Amino acid sequence: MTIKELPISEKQLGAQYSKASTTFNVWAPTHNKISLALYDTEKGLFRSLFPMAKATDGVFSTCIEGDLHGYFYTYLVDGPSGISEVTDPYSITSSANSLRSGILDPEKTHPENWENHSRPRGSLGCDAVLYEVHVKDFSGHPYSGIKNKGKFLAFTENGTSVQNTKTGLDHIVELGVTHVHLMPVYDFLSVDEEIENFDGNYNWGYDPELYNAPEGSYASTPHDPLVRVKELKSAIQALHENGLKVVLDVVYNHTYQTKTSNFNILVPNYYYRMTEDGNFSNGSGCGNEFASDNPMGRKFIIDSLLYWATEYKVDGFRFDLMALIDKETIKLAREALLKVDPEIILYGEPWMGGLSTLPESMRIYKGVQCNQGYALFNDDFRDAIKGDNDGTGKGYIHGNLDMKHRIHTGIVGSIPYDQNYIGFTTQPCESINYFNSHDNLILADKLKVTSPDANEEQLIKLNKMAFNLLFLSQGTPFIHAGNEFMRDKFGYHNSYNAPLSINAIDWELKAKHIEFYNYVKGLIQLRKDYSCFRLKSILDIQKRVHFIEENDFAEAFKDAIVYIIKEDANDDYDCLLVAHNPGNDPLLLSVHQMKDAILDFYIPEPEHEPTKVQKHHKTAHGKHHEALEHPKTVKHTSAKGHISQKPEISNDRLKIDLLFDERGYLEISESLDPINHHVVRVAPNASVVYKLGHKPKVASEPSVK
Amino acid sequence: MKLTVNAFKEDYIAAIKATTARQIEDTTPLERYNALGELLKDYIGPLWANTNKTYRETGSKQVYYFSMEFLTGKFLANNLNYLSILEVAEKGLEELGIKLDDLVDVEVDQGLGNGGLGRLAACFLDAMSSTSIPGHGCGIRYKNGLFEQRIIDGYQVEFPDRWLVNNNVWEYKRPNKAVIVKYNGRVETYMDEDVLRFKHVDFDAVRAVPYDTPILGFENNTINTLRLWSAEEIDDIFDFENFSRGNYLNAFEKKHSVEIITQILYPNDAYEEGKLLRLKQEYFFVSAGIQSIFTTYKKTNLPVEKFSEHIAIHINDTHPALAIPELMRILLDEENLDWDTAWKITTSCISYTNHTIMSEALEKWPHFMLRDLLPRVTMIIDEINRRFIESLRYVYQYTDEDKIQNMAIVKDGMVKMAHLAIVGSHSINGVAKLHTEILKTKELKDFYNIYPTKFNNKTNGIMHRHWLLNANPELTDYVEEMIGDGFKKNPIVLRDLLKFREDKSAQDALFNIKHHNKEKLAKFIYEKQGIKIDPYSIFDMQAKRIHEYKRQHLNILHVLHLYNKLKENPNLDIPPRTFVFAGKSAPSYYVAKQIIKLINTVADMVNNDASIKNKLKVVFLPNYGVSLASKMIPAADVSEQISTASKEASGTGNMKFMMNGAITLATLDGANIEIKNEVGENNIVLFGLKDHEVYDYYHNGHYSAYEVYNSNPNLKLVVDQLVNGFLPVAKEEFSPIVDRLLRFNDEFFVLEDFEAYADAQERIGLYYRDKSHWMKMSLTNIACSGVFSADYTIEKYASGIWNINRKPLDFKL
Repeated sequence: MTIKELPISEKQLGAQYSKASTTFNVWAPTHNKISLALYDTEKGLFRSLFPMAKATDGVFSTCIEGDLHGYFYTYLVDGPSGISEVTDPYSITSSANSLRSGILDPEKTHPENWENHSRPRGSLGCDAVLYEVHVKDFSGHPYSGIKNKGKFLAFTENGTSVQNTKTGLDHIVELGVTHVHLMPVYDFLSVDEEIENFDGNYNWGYDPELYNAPEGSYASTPHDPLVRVKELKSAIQALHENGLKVVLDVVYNHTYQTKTSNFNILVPNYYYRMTEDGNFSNGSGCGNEFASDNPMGRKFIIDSLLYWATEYKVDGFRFDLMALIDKETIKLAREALLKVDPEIILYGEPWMGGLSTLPESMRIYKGVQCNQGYALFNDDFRDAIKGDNDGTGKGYIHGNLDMKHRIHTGIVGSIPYDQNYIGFTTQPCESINYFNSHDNLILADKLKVTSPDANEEQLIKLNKMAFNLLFLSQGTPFIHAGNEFMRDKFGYHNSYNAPLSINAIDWELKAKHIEFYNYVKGLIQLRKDYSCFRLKSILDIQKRVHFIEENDFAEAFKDAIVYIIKEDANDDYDCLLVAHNPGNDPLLLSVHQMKDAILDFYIPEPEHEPTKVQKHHKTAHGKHHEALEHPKTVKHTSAKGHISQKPEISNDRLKIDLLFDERGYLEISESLDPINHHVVRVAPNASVVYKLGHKPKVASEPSVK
Repeated sequence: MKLTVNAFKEDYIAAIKATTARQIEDTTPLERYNALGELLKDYIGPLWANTNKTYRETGSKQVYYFSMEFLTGKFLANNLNYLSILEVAEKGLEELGIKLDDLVDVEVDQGLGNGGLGRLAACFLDAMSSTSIPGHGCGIRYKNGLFEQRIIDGYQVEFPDRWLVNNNVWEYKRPNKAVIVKYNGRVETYMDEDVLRFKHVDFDAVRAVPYDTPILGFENNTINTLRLWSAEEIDDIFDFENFSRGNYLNAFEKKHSVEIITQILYPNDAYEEGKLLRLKQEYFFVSAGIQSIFTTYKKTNLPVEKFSEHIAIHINDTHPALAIPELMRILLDEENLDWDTAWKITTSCISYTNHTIMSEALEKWPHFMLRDLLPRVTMIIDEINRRFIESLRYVYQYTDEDKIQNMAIVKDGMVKMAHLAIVGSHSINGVAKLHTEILKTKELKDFYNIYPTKFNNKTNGIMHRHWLLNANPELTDYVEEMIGDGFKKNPIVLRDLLKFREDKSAQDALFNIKHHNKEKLAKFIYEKQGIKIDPYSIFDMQAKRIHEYKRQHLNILHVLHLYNKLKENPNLDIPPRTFVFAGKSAPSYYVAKQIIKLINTVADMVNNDASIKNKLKVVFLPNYGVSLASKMIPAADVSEQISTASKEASGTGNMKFMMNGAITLATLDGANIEIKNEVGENNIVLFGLKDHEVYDYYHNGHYSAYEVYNSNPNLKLVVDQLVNGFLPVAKEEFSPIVDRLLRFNDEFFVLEDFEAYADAQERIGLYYRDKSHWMKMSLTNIACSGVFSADYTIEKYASGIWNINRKPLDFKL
């Protein structure tokens, strides 16, 4: 029987618990005999065996009477090299080091008030600020001030600090990100869960074993199967209650084990893509690739995602090597997930780790995500910002003008902006904008490698530039924990299994780089305060974002990128002007240009007369805004070249407020007197944001932040 | 003895002051230990004197147990326990802020022995005291015990065991009881009233100084003596002439040449022929011991003719066999008895235990060497031999001269000590039923034919008070809870445990005790070696001297086989196993040392292979001795007793493991057979060739190692892996082992038994999965182990060999 001919099953697989009995279903159509081994202790070798009956859909089943909460089980599978004992791929928990599947009464796994805890809403698409963190990095440092070092429960601790700066959960809240993206928390194999001393016992966790069970080394004990579940839920609940959404990093593209994995013992060569000569295809670079395109593989992934979304109330998923998961699976998964929670977000890596047998047409590369409702990491923009990942290659922030074009594309959310700047998205939020993730050199280290002779002050400027480009661009920004205070990893470019002493976030750096940290925090706030950094559609961007390509001071302008973004409706200004100056010379902008910038968008439309509102509002503008603007698109296919009747704005009607410069987001914006200042100076290696407006007949008061 | 906590504290504080002249807070653990030892000696002293007084006054027959080795281990905790003041002392010390365990840790093992033989001697001393038999040990006070084994790069490396470096608090030096032992020189004759007499002249004199250690009985006020002899310079030996001329080295030369006699303990199971120093040692303690017995005897004013009615001398293997000519020498030359009288006294006095049938361990000395070193003793041996041959010729009617020559004590210029021991003693015993049977029907068949009544069996025993009460207190408490404390004095009542066989809660309790012991050992192993082992895995142990006949290589080849199976299928449904090895190899025994290296090489490979999911761990614990054994044995699930059938005389490790609830995985060899008879075949896992099959192969020559090797692919694979580069060592590293297995046709049938062994291991795994089944087996083993108490063994020696009045003596103070 070939793999295509195997019967498939719609049954709910795994252990279905009830207080009266537990039913076990495992799909293994090629086998004739499977027994269930039931253990009453985690490690004791004594056990009871139960035969399982095989149905025509290839599912072996048995139902065992009694309350099996806290029991462990495995499947005994007859094979050519003896009887194999394997765990259930559908395990929801396990013994230490994943040797046995665990059975739990789901009700007992809920932390207090779990069912009704308040979950944050909103922060969708480009409104999100994603914050990637590893569970052990987060709290494992000796001076983190956090008690539950390296554990899920660290995320439940409020009020932690070091050197009078907040750490841990309070820090994330203070920083202002919206989503905490947890690196793998499912059960993985590369850490010995039973070793207490965890300095060298570290791994990122991209080596999945039991997809639906939490990792035991992050629980306060790996031995009690209940604890890991309950504590992960507690962490998620605490994040939720602090207004943070939670994204899980999921690695469905490969498993740690190949020939010997539970999948492969249960249905040999089914769950993995095989090459024509019968080997395991290795598109992951990790020895195998999971066959998401086989019906039961697809079912597993969707079941698993739904389990996390419903049981753990997770708000989003990040897919590792997403290109390896066929696009149909993601589509179906998304549809199912949105039924659980319409706010669930999905994003992933649009690449692979090797050659794959998955047909090109089924892979998720950049562009495939168009209008599919998920986002992809934007490596073009990443490299354009900082240069290559681990080498000395320079990015735009270093003044590498070869990157300038790609930066332009990134700034506009990598949409097809015009003839010149054509990205891969159909919505800006399809692009995850980032300058680093957990992979490769962390930004602070990368910048040291690229500029070995730079002093601290210069490095801070470079770090700031990278953040400027990220947060003042369209799309969804993503940072790695600690970037906000220039966390480094001692120059390790691939710290996946480096000791915790390399990986742990050194929270004292926050105090050390507090000025930088406040700068980043302000930047995030700026982005939140001005929704024009978070435009939702191609048309919006085309219409409202405009690059200023010419300059009165042409020579000085060549390094810089200057753009304006049209006001939000109901705001007290006409547009924001953003200038990035990676050069070593100051950039000079003339007031004249600013006037032009305003006028670039000046389209007299009676129904869209700006209403001046003194109070700044933070709510998302949503559909109302779009509905207002849509009609305009009929008239303007491009933002440029449609200004027919530029009215003259006299300097006395011009209002120029400096919102942001190398010092950061200004508490009180600095108004500039356009009558006396004809030229504005942008410092070298810095960015600025100006708020431009023209006063109506009645002078308005300064905006209030 | 009765003692209050306060009285103990007062005594102890006084002892600290007396021994250290310091405040108790300022003392080191060693000083505290020594003070406690001195205090105990104060308590022991009167009891000891009283025991000796009682022996004198009652004229009870005294047994002297001569042994080259006494593996007594540690005394402190045992002595406290036997004096019934363990709890008092523990509490008193605690109130002084001292943990008794810390002091116990300071004590070093008195490791004056190699293995079973030495440990048996120590257990027998304990049993004699505990059963109030007037029996004393006689041996050598080696300055260095058996080497300290360390494992470096997988190899055994020997370091000196300097057990005396911190002094030995338990011993009493008795210089006034020193005697002179004479070597070399020549024999002169003279006439004494028409009788030809012999005189040893121009000899080199060595002073033998005794060190006495009290051997306490369990709660019975009996204290016997272990007397160990040390070679020391005679007062006027120092060579001032050389010294004053500046020849310092020469000045000390003679001193060294004397002291070297008791400097080191020879490893026993690779007997090295012709080691003059070893011969010197044997004669040294035998001569000193017998002289001192004579001195004591003479004080009783009993006639020398009655000597054997009051004295029994037992020789533990042939090493003290010179006791026969030495006793003859004293009776003839010093007591002036005639040969026949002397011979009668000697043979009725001396009894002999045979410990081995391994031919390489049978002692032989070149006649010329013996003659040079011990001229008078050699003359006596020659005369014994002459008379023996004459009597044989008479028995065989002057036919069958070949047989007679084979039985002779001296043949082809070699003196055979076993033959001397047989001829010169009234009892020859084997140490297990099978062993005695083999002695009678195979190895010593000719002697058995002429001396059938001399032969008897005394199956070895163990000191249950140590191996159960001391080593496994949790189990002891549990047993006491179930059946009362009668087993402490009368271990046979352990059988009462059998009625709890089906009791689920008893099974659970037993499991928990074993598990706790396993956790403790796992922790110890992790701390010592950094190897993490799973206390839930099956702890499978082989702890004994490393020797080809004991077949540690069969065990490790099977480990390799399991590893291969797990490499092929890491999910293989087998219970996880931890194989623990411990044991020393004789330093000169190359193949045995390579087996150690092999175990460590496989261990490194297996333990560091994450792919097999911790289902297999291998640990070699270095420096096996009494202390280590006491940690290991209570934690064992499986006891490996897998010697080639007929080769292991008895074994006592098997009994220790059994008493602690391990299931024996065994060939039908040594005392394994008796264990099987006690527990029944369902409670032991047997495999392999039987002794008669082994003998058949030896006789018919039909065994072909290559054939076995070629017919079993799993076996072939593991043998090949030793030399095909699979193991991370040079390819020739283990070729000596493979050569022994293949080219030299596998003398110990490792290959032949491999498959049966693997099957037996599989059965172990199956049984272990069923808790009730396994715990029933375990409980049965504990319950049936009482019969192996050395107390019973020693009672059989007393009544069957030494002819000792077993009426308990009254030791009332």
